[in-house]
Order: sequence, then structure tokens, then C-alpha cells
Amino acid sequence: MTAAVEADGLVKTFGAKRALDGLSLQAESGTIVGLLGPNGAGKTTAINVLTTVTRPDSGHATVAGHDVARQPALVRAAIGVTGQFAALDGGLTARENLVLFGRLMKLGRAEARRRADELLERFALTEAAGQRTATLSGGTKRRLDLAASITREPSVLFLDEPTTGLDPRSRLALWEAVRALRMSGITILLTTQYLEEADALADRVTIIDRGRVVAEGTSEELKRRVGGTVCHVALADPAEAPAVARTLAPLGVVSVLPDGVSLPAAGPETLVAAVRALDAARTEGLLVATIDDIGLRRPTLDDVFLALTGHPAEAADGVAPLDRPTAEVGS
Amino acid sequence: MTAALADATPHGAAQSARPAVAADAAMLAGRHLRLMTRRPASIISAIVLPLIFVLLFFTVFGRVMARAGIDYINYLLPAAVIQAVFFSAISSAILAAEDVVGGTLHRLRTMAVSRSAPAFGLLAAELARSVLSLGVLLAIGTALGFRFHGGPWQALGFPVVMLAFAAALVSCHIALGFALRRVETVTVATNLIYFPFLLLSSAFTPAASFPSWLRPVVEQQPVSQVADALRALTTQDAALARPLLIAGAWLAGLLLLGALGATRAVGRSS
Repeated sequence: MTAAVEADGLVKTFGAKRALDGLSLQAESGTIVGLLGPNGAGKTTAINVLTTVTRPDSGHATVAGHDVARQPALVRAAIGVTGQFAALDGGLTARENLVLFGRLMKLGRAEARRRADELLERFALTEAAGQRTATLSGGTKRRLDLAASITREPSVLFLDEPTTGLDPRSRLALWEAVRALRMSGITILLTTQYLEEADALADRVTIIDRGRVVAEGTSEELKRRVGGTVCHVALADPAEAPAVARTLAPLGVVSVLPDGVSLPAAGPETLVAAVRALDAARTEGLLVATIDDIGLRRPTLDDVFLALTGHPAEAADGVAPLDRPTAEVGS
Repeated sequence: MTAALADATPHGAAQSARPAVAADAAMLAGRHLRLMTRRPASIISAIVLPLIFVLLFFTVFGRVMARAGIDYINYLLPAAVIQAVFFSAISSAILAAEDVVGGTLHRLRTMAVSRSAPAFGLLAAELARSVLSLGVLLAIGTALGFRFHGGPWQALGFPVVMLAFAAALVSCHIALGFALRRVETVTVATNLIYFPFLLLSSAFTPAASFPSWLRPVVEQQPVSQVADALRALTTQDAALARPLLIAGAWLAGLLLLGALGATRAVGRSS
């Protein structure tokens, strides 16, 4: 295994803001690496540096074996990039866009057309082929954008928040497309602020916050760092939590949560014991709480993020993703 | 080096590692031309507006000027040509800004595409558009009595000066569009250039008709110099060397400014 992307100590400041503060990361060839962090964590700046758009103030990075600062032309020839906003020509049809990008990537005329048709087929875009891109839905545009970025099969593909602003169905469709690309051996570096997205797609996850890496590993490893499985009891009325906690106290150390309680679970037996204890207490009239849900829960990347950075990922973003062009981000 | 390139780029991208400006620019020019043909506003400002201006001015002022002994259509056509070039320049600034806003420029910067290709491609497309406008204007002008009174070389010089002016003005506007990065800002900025430079010039009105304190500015500014050069090329015995040299110097300077500005704006770190 060789590293298709390797960054070491990248620093980039914009005025007083340190967008990258010594960022180091790696992506092994043929894997999907998720770069996870809230808005403003430095994800887009990291992508801009790795795709040769922005020069780092210091630090060093190679992509597909080429130095991003010294061999930018070689890097550009080896990568594909899909930004946060579909960079397509609204006045051209889906097919014309793909042919144009193919030609710009130095495919011959006939080859560019053949490749465009192949990609339209592969990304379920045949219906959109003859339509002006401006009239397409957000999800369709993103799929087309993804197709455009692999017109000439890259060895490394950068996806900057590929599903930001998409509805759940379009997001699933895009995930499918990304998984299919991984199957063909392309190394993918993906940024996201959605924990479930990193969980669903990435082989390894690098969590960044304020321009620095705070954790790196598979999502399983990261979850394990936060702790094991818990038995979670969701309550209709959180005021009942203390009573429920007392009932379950003999089974372990119970934590009271905003939506209920949880206790560490050794395995399914903890769940069975908890159900029995709650049922017995209700039969004896000791407990009146309405239980919404009870089950075993493995920690999510949300828990990981909170544990590692001291602030939750979703709350940290504060604002919805801004609808503005990548070119302006961080400028 | 060749071996290293081939090893490093398994997908046969060795050649594309060295971007070909001309090929890239031609591709992007084709894209802009295609977009222009699909935009009614583009077609109107390239063909219809110049036509309307010539017809309007000729109808309103033609007779008065004729009475004053001026061959008005020969006076008017160079002005209309200059105006058409301004329309083309404004269009280029807006298209450039749209490519920034839409992310196309950003994407091109991540591709093995020459950094100067976006500007050259747009410039080539706008020059093609200027040729179309010129054709339309010469046709209507000829119908209204416009004639080249000089020899064939002067007649050939006319489109050459016009295209040189277009190249200079458009490249400055492309730089403006790439640098300002917002369509609304670009619209305001282009108007701030268009109105003073066109109205305070000898394009539509002779410099002598401006108040004396304003006359030096009107006479010296580049649009007047280009208008003078274009007019000299339509007359029989005008001294050509001076107006052509002055206009040429202005245009070379503006072209350099535009080319540097556009390349800088494209390459600028975001």
C-alpha cells in the first residue's frame, strides 16, 4: 500500500485566521478517506491546497506521487475534483458539459463523445443528457459534476462536501456512485460535515477542527475510543429519567441524558435485564414512565466528535452551508 | 523526465501535464460562442443594438449634418464600431465574473488546463463576436452610403484597428470580471467605464464641440484616438502614421494591462 495523498504540517493563514494549522493526513491508494469537521474547520482549504489551487504557507504535500507546490501540472493531470458547488456550465446540456471537460482533459473529439455517453449511462443521467444543466435538479447536477470530474479517470478524486444541500434520496444516489468509483480503484478524499456520510463511505476518517487533526482511524476505531456499546432508554417525558435511573441502578452506572438514560452494556443480556427490571417495576406500580424506545446503541461519530473536540459537530457549524461559490471560500 | 512523466501518470496523461494554451483556449472559445448563441441578450447586443444605434443616429442627425457639409454616415460608422466593441467588452466582463461565481474557473484551475486559457478563450470568442458586429455594421453602413475613400490597404486597416481595439478593451474587461468576482459589481464597473469613455470622446461628437476645459481630456483619451485612427482609414488623403501610432501605443498598453491583470486574477490564490 502506498499513500496516494500525503500531507505533512500544512499551514495556511488568511489574514489573522489560521485555516490550516499544521494539518497532516494520508490516504492509502485505493481507499476512501473522509475528512470530517464542522464548517470553518479547514476542510475546503485543505482540498484547495491538495488540488494546487492554493499554495500553503508552509508544509509539504504530495498527491499521486507529485509535489503539489513544485509539480502542480502533474498533480492536476492525475486528479479529479468535485467542489461544493456543481461547477458546470448552466447554458450547456449535460452531454455538452461532459464532452467539453473531456476535450479539456485532452481526449480526442470522438473519444470525448464516447466517454460522455458512457458516463451518462453509468451515472443514470441519460434522461438529462439533452437538457440544459441549469434546469436540472440539485442531485442530478451533483452526479453530473461527479461524472465530469472522472471524465479522464483520475488516480485521486477529491470530493468537497459532495452531498451538502441534497435531499436524502439524492444523497443516497450519490453515495452509491462514490462507492462504485472506489470499486474501480480510485483513491477518494472526501470532506464532509455529516458524520453519517463519513461513516457510510470512508475506510478511514480524519477528524479535523480549527485546521488541525484531532483524531484519525477507521470509524470503528474512533467509536471504540469513546467507549463501548450502551443500553439506551428513550423516554417520552425526560422528567421520569431519575426514577428510571434508580430502577436500573443495580445493572450498572446509569447516565441521565436529555432524552432518557443509558448504561454501559456488556451485550444483549444487559438489554434483557433492563427490560425485565423496568417491567417488574411497572408491575409493582413503582414506575409510571412511558418508554419510547429501548435498545443497544453503539457510539456514533457524533459522540466521537463531542468527546474529541469538546463541542458537538452540528452545533459547531452554527449556520447552514452557505450557497456561494468555492472560489470565494476562504478568500 | 519523459520516463518519469509516463511512470507517474498511468492514464496516459503525460502530454496533458504540459497544457497547450492554444488548444485549451480554442475549446473554451467554442464553449463561450455556444453559450452566446443561446443567450438572446448576447445576440441582441452583438447584432440588433449596433444596428438600431446606426439607424437612430442616422435618422436623427443625418440631415442636419449633411446641411453642415459632413458625410455623416462615414463619421457615424467608426463610432458605432467602437460602441459595438464596448458591448462585446461588457459581455466579456460579465461572462468572466459568471465563470468565477459558477465555480468553472476554480474547476479549470484544478485541471491540466493552461492558466491563461480561460482569458484567451473568452477573448477569442469576443473577437469572433466583434467580427460579426463589424460585418453587420459595414453592411448597414454601406446601404446608407458609407464608403472607404482610401485605398484597399486603408480599408483592410479598418477591421485590423477595430480588432486591436477589441482585443485591448476586452482583455481589460476580462481582467475586471475575473478580479471583481461578482456580476452586479461588474455591471456597475463596466458602466463606469463605458459612459464616460464613450460619451466624453470624439466618437459621436467632434472634440471641438466640447467645452474648452474638457477638450484636452476628450482629445487625448484612448477612445478618441481609436476613433481618429478609424476615421483616418476611411478618408482619402489623411495622414495615417500619427493617428495609427498613437492609437497603437494606447492599445498595446491596454492589452498588456489586460493580459497581466487577467492572468493575475486567474492565478490568484483563493
